[in-house]
Amino acid sequence: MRMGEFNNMEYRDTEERILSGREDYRRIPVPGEMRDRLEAGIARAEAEKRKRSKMGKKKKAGFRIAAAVAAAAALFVVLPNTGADVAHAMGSLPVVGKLFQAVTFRDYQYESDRFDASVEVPQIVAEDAADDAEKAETVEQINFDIEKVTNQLIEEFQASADLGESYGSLKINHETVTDNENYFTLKLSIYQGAGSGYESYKCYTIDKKTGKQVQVGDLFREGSDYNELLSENIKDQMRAKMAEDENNIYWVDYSDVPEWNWKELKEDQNFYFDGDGNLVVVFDEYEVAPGYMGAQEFTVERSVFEEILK
Amino acid sequence: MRSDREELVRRILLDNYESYYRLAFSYVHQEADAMDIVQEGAYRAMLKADTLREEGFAETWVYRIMINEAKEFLRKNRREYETPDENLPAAEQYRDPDLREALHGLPEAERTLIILRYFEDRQLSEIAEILQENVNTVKSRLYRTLTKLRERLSVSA
Repeated sequence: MRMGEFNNMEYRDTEERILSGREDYRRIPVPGEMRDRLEAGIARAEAEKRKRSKMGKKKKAGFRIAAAVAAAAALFVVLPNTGADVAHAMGSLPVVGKLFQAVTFRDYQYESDRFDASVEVPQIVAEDAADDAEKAETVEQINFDIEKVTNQLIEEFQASADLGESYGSLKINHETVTDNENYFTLKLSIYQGAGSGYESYKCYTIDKKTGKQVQVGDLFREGSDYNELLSENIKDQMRAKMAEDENNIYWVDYSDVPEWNWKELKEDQNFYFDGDGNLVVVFDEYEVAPGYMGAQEFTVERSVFEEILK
Repeated sequence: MRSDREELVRRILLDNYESYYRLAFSYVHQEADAMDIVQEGAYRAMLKADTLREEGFAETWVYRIMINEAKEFLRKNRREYETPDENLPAAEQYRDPDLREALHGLPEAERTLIILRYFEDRQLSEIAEILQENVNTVKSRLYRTLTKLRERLSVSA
């Protein structure tokens, strides 16, 4: 046993007295459940990472073949009447400005004692896709991505439900969050529960003028410091919220574990424009704050970035 | 497939979870809450394993995550823990009741220091890494804490 941090005899007695409690401390019983709980924590992190890496990778190569297979497979999917009919009717709908629309394409429901799922898989339909190859390809690519992501989640859910161990829940829904003269954004909300839940999002934004899907960086002029500008604005908002209420914690200026600090927007950061043209940045749970804070959205006023817009 | 870092962190978690549990317990004095803290800490450590800069820091880094998790838990539930519980749970049975009292009366940060140094047998340099302080700061804080404990223990002796 090591003794005496300090040579000073004054503290010898105190140190010895403390050390006399060492065995008692080590006898504090650890519940048998602790090891299972630890492994559950590890497993949850691993499952989340697997999911992230799957969602993050967009394989360009093989896309066309895969898309064709997916499209062929889609013919055999029983569609709820909204999807197919609306999709079919869109071309003839005289809706000015509504170039894109999201429809529920697949409806997956599941319920048992310990498992429940409520999934609405959307597809985007374009008004005049037949005449516009660019637009058709964008829509096809987004729809393919949505299908891939949701199929994966449904399969994983179904597999664990079939296995019947523990419990789980899956909720996916969609919302058209932007539909103005410039942009169309479909937001997919994903909630996966197993023990404690995990919320994540996927925003698909289409530039109506070009018919292309855009990422946040595409909104701003080449060479502009949009990322720093937006990120600093968001960090200031985080600081303000933390000052307001000490229960609010964001990973900003977090000196305890500096490497956890959120730095800047990702290339494929989720975002959309609100009704006033402000930019809403969407973060998954755990992306910028501890899990109990849930998923987060921050609105950056248009005046902040207006000058550097394309 | 786990990366090397993930495998390392996982092994550290499995080897040391009892220590993390006891440390968490010293913050919340409740089995269920202490288990929540360690589970959440394990999740966080695994999730962030690849951000670990050097493998040599892995052990102290996991400790730090667990301590932060415990502190965050207290902040989040501070109303529940605002009034210190006078009745210590049966799990914390020290044969020297005055020592138990004296430790219980310390602020969390100081108690953690004592636990790490004397009960978990950690070197000052390791404690400095865990707490992200320099060794001299840790040393003087330990000195202050010992002074405090000495006073309390001599009063009760």
